[in-house]
Parts: sequence; C-alpha cells; structure tokens
Amino acid sequence: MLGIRKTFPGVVALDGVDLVVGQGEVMGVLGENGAGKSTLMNILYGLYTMDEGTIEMQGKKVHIRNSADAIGMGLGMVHQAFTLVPNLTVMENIILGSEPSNMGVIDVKDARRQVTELVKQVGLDIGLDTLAEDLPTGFKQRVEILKALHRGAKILILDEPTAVLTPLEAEELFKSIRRMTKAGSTVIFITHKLKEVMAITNRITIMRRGKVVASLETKDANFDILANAMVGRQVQRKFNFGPYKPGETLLKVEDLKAASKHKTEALNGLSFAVGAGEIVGVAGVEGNGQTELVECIMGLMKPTGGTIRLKEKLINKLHTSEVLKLSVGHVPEDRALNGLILDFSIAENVVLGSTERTDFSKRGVMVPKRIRDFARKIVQSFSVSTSGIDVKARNLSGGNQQKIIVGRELAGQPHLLIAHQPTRGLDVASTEYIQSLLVDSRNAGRGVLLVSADFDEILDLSDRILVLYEGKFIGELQRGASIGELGRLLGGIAAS
Amino acid sequence: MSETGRHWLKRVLRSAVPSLVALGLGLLVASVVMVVFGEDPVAIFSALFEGALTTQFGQSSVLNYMYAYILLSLAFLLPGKAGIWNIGGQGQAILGGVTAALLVEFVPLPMVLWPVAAMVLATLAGAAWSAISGLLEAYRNASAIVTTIMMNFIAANLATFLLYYVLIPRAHVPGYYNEVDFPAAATLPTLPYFTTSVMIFIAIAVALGTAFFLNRTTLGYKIRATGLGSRPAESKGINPRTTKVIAMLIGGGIAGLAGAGAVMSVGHGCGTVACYQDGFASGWFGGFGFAGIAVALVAVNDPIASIFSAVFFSILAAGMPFAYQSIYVVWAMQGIIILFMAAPQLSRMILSFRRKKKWT
Amino acid sequence: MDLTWLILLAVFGLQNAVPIGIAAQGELVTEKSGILNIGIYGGMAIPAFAAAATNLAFGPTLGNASPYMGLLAAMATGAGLNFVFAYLSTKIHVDQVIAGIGINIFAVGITAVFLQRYYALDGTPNGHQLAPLFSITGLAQNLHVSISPLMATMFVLPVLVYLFLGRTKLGLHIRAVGENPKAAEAAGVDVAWVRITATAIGGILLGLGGAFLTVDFNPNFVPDYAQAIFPAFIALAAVIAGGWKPPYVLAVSILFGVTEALRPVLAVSSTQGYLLTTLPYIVTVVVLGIASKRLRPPAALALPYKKE
Repeated sequence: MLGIRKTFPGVVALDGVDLVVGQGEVMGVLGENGAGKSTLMNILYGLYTMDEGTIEMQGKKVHIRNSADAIGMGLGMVHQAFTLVPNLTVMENIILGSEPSNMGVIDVKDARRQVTELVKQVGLDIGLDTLAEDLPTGFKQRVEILKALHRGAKILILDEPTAVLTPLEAEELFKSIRRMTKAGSTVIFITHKLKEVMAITNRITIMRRGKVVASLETKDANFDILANAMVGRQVQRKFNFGPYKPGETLLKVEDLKAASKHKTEALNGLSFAVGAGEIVGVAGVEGNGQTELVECIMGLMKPTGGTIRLKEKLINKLHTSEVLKLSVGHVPEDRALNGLILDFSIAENVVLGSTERTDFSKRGVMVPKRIRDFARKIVQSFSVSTSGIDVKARNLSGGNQQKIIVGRELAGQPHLLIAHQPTRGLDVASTEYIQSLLVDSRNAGRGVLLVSADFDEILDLSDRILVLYEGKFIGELQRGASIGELGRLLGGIAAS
Repeated sequence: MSETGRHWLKRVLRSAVPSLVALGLGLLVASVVMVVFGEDPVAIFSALFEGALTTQFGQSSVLNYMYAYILLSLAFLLPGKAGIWNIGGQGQAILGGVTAALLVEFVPLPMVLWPVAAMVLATLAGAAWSAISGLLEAYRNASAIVTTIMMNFIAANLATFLLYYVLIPRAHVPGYYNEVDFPAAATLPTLPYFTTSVMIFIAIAVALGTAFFLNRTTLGYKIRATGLGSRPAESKGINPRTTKVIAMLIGGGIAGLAGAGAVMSVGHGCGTVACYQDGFASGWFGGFGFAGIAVALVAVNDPIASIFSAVFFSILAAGMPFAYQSIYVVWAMQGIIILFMAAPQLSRMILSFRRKKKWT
Repeated sequence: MDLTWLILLAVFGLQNAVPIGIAAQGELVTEKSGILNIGIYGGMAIPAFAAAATNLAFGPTLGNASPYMGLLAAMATGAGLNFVFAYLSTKIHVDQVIAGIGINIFAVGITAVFLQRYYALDGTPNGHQLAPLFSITGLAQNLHVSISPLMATMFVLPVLVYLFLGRTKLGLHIRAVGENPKAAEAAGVDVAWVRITATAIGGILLGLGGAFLTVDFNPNFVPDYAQAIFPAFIALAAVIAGGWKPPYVLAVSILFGVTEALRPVLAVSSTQGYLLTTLPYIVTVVVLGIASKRLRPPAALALPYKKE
C-alpha cells in the first residue's frame, strides 16, 4: 500500500487537500481550471514547495525538495506541454539523463535492450530511431511516458493526457494505462473530461478552488454527480443588467476552421454571432480552441476555412491593425505577455496601437501632453492605483495592469469588445470591477464576446453561453442555465 | 520643478553608475597591466590626457574620432531598440565611404550640391547594405548577428576592390598608391583652428535627432515597442517584421553617413586633404564599427549619453599615441570595458560587495 | 602546365583549410550546445600568440619538440579563454554576442601590447617549425609538399566530433541543451555546465587551429589588424554553410580554403582577387537566405538560458 497525504492551509492554491492513492490503481483527479490540480501535482513532483502538510509513501513520511528527489522515489510526471528534444531520436530522448554508459560512452546495446523491454511491457509500440520532431503528438506522449518509466517511475502522473490526442490515440493510451497498472504501476490521471474519468479510473477525487469537494469510487459515480461537484457555485455576484435587447449583428462567424501550432485541428467549424448590447460567453476548459478563436478574429492567425464578418465586412484576411480600426477592442489573454509592454510606462502603454490617432500625433510626431492627459484620464476613471503615469507597467499589480488594458480598449468606444480571460488571477475587488465594466459596456449597446475558463464569470455575465469543447461548440445555454448543464457540457457530454 | 529636476538628476546618476563602474574597471585593469610591465600608469594617463586635450593635433584627433564613434554607436543602438543586432556598422560605414568616393570621383557636381549628394547617396548605400541583413532576419529567420558580420567582410573586400581597380586607375585626382584624394569643392567645410570638418556638428545633431525620433515620433515608438514586447505590439497591430527592417535601414543609413563623413573630411588619414584611403575605417576590431558598439554599451543605449561616452573613448584613442606610441592598449581596454558593460550582474556584484564592506 | 596549376591549387587550398577546418569543428561543438561564440577570433588569435611565444621560449632547450609545447599552450589557452567566455555568458548572464565582441577587441589589443613589450610590433621572430608527418616531392616541378600533423588532424576531427556528439553521454547532453535546454534540465542535465564544457572543448580546437598559423604554416606571430590572417569568421561561416554537420563542415572548410587559394594561384592575371576573398561570406549569406528553412541550427543557439 502506498499513501500520500497533504495538508495546506494556504490562502491561495490549495487549502487542506488530502489525496490518498493506492498501489496499482488509477486515481482520477477531476476539476476545472484553477481548481488546484496542477499545483497539487507540482508539489508532489517537487516543482513547488508546500507551506504545510505532509507526504507519506508506503506509510513513511518523505521530503520531496526537487524533481530529482521525486524521481528517486519512483515518481514520474508527463506534462501537458511535452519536454522532448526535437532533434534527438526517440531512444535518445528516453535515456537522456539516465544513460547506461561506460566511461562516458553510451552503451547503445544496453540502452536499446532496456527500452525495448519497457516498450514490450507497457505495449506502447514506437520506432526507437525516429527523430522526436517527426513524431505525431500521440507518440510524443508515449516517449514521455517511456522516459518516466525508464527512470523507474512506479507512480505516473498524467496531466490532462488526452488534451492533445485523437480519440483513437486516447483509446490506445487507456489500454497501456491498464497494462501498466496490471504490472503494479500506479497512475494519477488529471483531467476535466467526465467521460474519460468514468472510463479509466478506479477512484475519483474532485477538486474545486483548492479544496477536495468529493472523493468516491468510480463505480458509485455518474455524470451528474461529477458535473455538480466540479462546477459548484460561489455566491452569485449581482450586476445591474439592463433589459436584454440584442441589436444589430456585429460579429458573424461561420464554419470557422483553424489549425493549431502543432498542426492539429484546433477549430472545427464554429458558427456564431454577437449582436450589439449582449454578452456572449464562450466557455470551455483551456486548450479547447479559445486562443485560436480569438486570434483568428483579431487577424493574428490565419483561419484554414470559414468566414468571419464584422458588420457584414469580411475580415478573414485583414491585418490586425485593420481589424482594430473597425471599432474592435481586444483584452488579450495573459496581460503580461500580450496586453502590455511591461517596460513601458503607463503613459506609453495607453497609446499602444493608437499612436496614429490625430489627437495623439501630428505628422508622425507624438503630442506628449495629449497622451499624458489621456493616460491620467484612464488612471482616474478606471481607478488605477499608481503613484503616477510614468510608472512602468511592470511595477503595477495585476489588477491595475488589467484596468489599464480595459481602459485603453474602452477608450476607443469600440462597438465590439473581445475579452479573453479578463479577470484571470485578479483579486476579488478588481475582478468585480472589471466585470462590472463589461456589463456597463453591454448596457451601453456594445457587443461583448467574453471568452473565459472561469465558469462563475461566464454564468454571472453572459446573456448566452456557448460551450467550446475540442474545437466545436457542443451546446448553447441561456442566462440562468444551471450549473449541472454547464458542467456536463464542459466535460464533453452534450445535452441529450 | 526643482524637485522633479532633482529626481531626474538622481535617475541619470543612478543609470550612469554601471557605466562608470565599467569604465573604472577598464582603466584599472589597463593600469594593472602597465604596472606589471613595469610602467607608470599615472605618467601614461597624464601624458594621454595632456596630448589629447592640450595640443592642436590631439584636439583635432579627438573630434575626428568622436563623430565616427557617435554615429556608429547610433547605428548599433537604434536597430537594437527594435530588438535586432546590427554588428554591421563597420561594413555599412565602409560601403558609405566608398560610395561617396565613387560619386565624388566620377560625377562632378556644383559646389554645395556635390558633398551633399555624396552624403545622401552614402546614407542610402549604408541603408541598402543593412537592409539585406534586416530582411533576412525578419523574413527568413537568419540571425542578423551572423549576417551582419559576414556583410562586414564582403563590404571591406568590395571596397578594396573598387579602390584599386576602379577608383585609383580612373580617378581625376590621384593620391598615394592606396588612396584617392578629393577636390576641395567636394570636401566638407573645415572648422577653424582644428584639422577636422563640420561632421562633429552633424553627428551631434543626428544623436539629438535619434533621441527625438525614438522618444517623440510614432515610428520611434513602434520601434521601441517592438524591441521591448513584440507580442503585445503585434496584438495591437504593429508589424514587428517591418518595424525591425525599418530600424535596421535607419541604423545602416547612419553608419553609411559616418563613412561618407570620414572620407570627405580633412584630418582623416591624408592630413589636410580629404581622401578615400584603403582601410580608412582602421582595421577591424579597433575600427569604428566595433568601437561604436563599445560606445553604445557604455551609454546604455541612450543616444544622448552616447555623445558623452564617445568623448571618453575619443580621448583615449586620440591621446594614446602621445603616451604609448600605439593605441593597442586602448583596444585591450575597450574589450574589457565591453565585457564589464555586458555584465549587469558583475557591476552589481561589485557594488554590493563594496556596500557590504561598508556596513559590516 | 595545367596540372601544375591544379596541384598548386589543391596544395594551397588544403593548407588554407587547416585552421578553418579545425576551428570550425570546435565552433561546431560549442554551437551545438547553444552558445554562439562570436569571440571566435579572439579564441584563435590569443592562443596563436601563446603558441608562438611558448615555441620561442622552449626553442633553445627542446629544439624541434618545442612546437608541440606551443600546440599544448594554444589548446590550454583556448580552453581557458573559452571557459571564461562561457562562464560569463551562462553563470553571470553576460550577453553572448557582446562578450564575444569584447573578447575579439581585447584579443587584438592584448596581443599587440605583448608584441610591443616583448618582441616587436611587427611580429615575433621565427621559432622552430612543426615537423611534417611526411613530404611529397615530384608532383610538379620543384614542388615540395609537406603534410603537417595538423592537416591529418583536420581530416580525423570530423569523425571524432561525430562520435563524440553521437555516442557519448556528454555529446548527447550537448545536443540536448542546444536544442531544448528546458527539457534537458527536466531530465536532470545541468545546462550551464554542459554549455561551459562544450565551449571549453571548442576552445581547445580554436586554439589548435590558431596555432597552425603560428608554429606550423609560419612559425611566428604577426599582428593581424586587418583580420586577414586568422580565418576565424570563415570558420564561423563554414559551420553555418556546413549545416552544423561535421563532415559537411569539413567539406565546406576545404572549399573555402581552395577559394582562398585561387587568389595567389591566379594572381598573375586576376583583378578579381578581392572579390574572390569574399566568396565564403557571400556563400554563407546566400545559404542563410535560401536554405534557412532547411538548415537546422541548434534551436537554442545564442539564446541565454535562465533556470527558473
């Protein structure tokens, strides 16, 4: 038997989480984004240190300070983003860091024997001399699993392993998971997909907001129990919604298709419309196509099929700057990476993309006074707390950074506002403030496309909810939809 | 007002600290080397400063180095603001120089127009030369670090070829075996007293212009935005590729101007005559292009600070012959100063070390 | 007559190729780990000076063996210098490119300072020349071709480098950190130290390549302000044009060496000599422009890696 127990009284990610996994079982850890699944696993794997709590293995208390410790104790982790070296062969990748060698020279024969044996054992068939970069995604994951096993992993943590797999590949993966557990390995399977968790696990632990909300045998579970537990609600926030009277259609997307950076299909025929005076929420767990959807609309990515129209104008092939000129505001995902230039001051950031406006520049020369007045106005009207407008964006809190971005985008009086994860990582007050700005925009007759993985936010704000799952909309809900309905859709169970 | 003034002064001083530390360390290392050789660094440095600052020849020499150093530091730092490495200032300057020489030798023009046309053409040539590297980086993903180095060698050999097989055989005004002299009408106006031209004023004006361009124009804004955050810039409609190419073009143009200025000024190799001379940009690493990078680094990539940084390096270069027969010690020092400048952690380590000593 | 011309070209070409070929293999090892060593010129010139000086110092006592002391000194200096460079750029986070430029400028200055101090500004006197492995005579009239041990080294090196990178643990680690340092780190590889080691190994070969010019080709050190003697950047170009593959890099090095030889061999009638000299660089720029998609530089080349 093997037991892991952790307790954290952390204010942030994990709040007294207990997890017990038995040898040879497949433990499903289910939860939405930000539930704390990954944090928990990163602690187990030695990537984060915990504030409080204990980890026990086979009854003994252990200390895991870094991933080397974790590997030494027989833990292996396969991340969502693979860490393969593209120009090395499959075998070289598997043995990297644990090469059988003789005076610095790799013992190729021995390595091949070891790896072949492993492959037989778990049934993950793969050509050992192929370069990692030439492998399809599903096979890359096999290499990762073999890599962990080659280091002697007895407990394998799989973080959203099917996110990048085709259904067929996922089926193959399940088969080898069964073989592994039969051979005595233990698997911790992290996911948000209800079907999978029902299909492969023995037991399920459901997390929400840093807490374990339920832990049960898979045979006792069903979709409704799981969905309700995964997407529990907090106190509903109150906003002043005006009457719902959607006006002219602003954005019309038809049969949109796009490929992701890994050349797999990211968007698979999306059709929807956003009208003036409504908030359309696109809900979904991250990685189901949200980023590609927003990038296609904004001209940052070329769709592979379908049409995007903005007030009847086809914008498929337009450059980002041209899209922005059509009265579109865009609050990008990851403000620090995409929204602000961190080493620019507030004053410099508020004119990002709008320096050509006639009041900000004359014949290519900027008018600092106007720009500074504008920056002050944004700081004031969006209550950004800062000592001045010359402060670098880097030195502002996340909430204040986001206020600057939203302020900048709303200042252009856009007809359509696209907000992508607008409140991610913000404190409660800032979250509420930003959300109220979106509601105000909607009441003022703007169309708002809210793309979010925060389901409270989606439920609180959206007039209509579209649920994105593996590049497709698998359902549409109206305001007032129940949590259960949303939870099922998020987990990939279409409404019957 | 006085408070903001003081605040500003404090900021300037604080940002100057790493530069001063690097310069100090460079001087220190050079002094140690001299002591090891059994020489007196104090005597050498005082001879150096005296020579550079009190003699007519030394002063002229300082000015002649200075304009080239200022312009070539700008040629490095302006593309750098867009996040692209221009190590090709040397080659762009050489190409500018030879272009100016070709125009002057083969296309006689009226008085004022002649030097102006040569300078404009040289600027365009430098820009075109740098454009190759800029385009390759922006659209073919070929690092400008490598291509600009390669383009330096191509430019140098091309220029030498043009000198010996085109310019010298067909020039109107023959000079020594390795140079072509310029007619007075195509020479830049000479300053009174000093053996140098008005290039120093042009260089300072370009530095001020660069500062204005970067901080006050929309294009300069886009260049800085691209360099500091190409992703947010792109998501707000600024095309990082075109911006990089434009920054590279401007940098190359400034280097080309420097090259033209050098060959069209008196005091550069041929004494009181302006000339195009083989290797006018004086060798490789001691040459203008690489010294310009050192100047820019010490100026922490600030166009106005590069004027002051250039003063320092020019005095060293111009004064060294008075003290040491050769300027090679300066090159060694430049190398060390560059290493120290590139190591923010190093100067911070040294500063914190000192602080620790003081408080414990 | 025509044959003589070709033989001359081959002989001079191969001789020119030796420093390029050896240094390029060194730079290749370094670049495979993700470090772009722009300081390659300093990495050749300073060891070359050390080789000449050591050769002169041991000349009276060791006689014909003293060039070997020179080679050892060059390899040690090269490794030491590159160690410092790599340490600065991985541990102190000095920018690789800037540190490289700094080392190059420093190299020109410091060798000149030493020359001026201990020898003469226009170069050191001659020392003993490295004895050839064997000589070939009778190929053409009065032509006496000596095959240097370093030329043999040039031909053996690609095989050694290939085996080193492909078959040893360190070689595997070098390729991993040059391509995906994060993945290597996750697999328990110490990125910084692998890079430092790879750069130091590269330095040994840079030093050896430089020393060819000062104890073998000509047993003296002459200053090189015009960047003409130490073909460091041609070696850098050869690594790129050879697509980071040891045998191709050798082939390109020889090709560049032969190009260099065209000028003296054709000297009588050619006015295009200066343009010929630029060919290696033009070839490299064109290769980068045309084939940049097919070339596979180490993905993390010139990118600093900071542990999180």
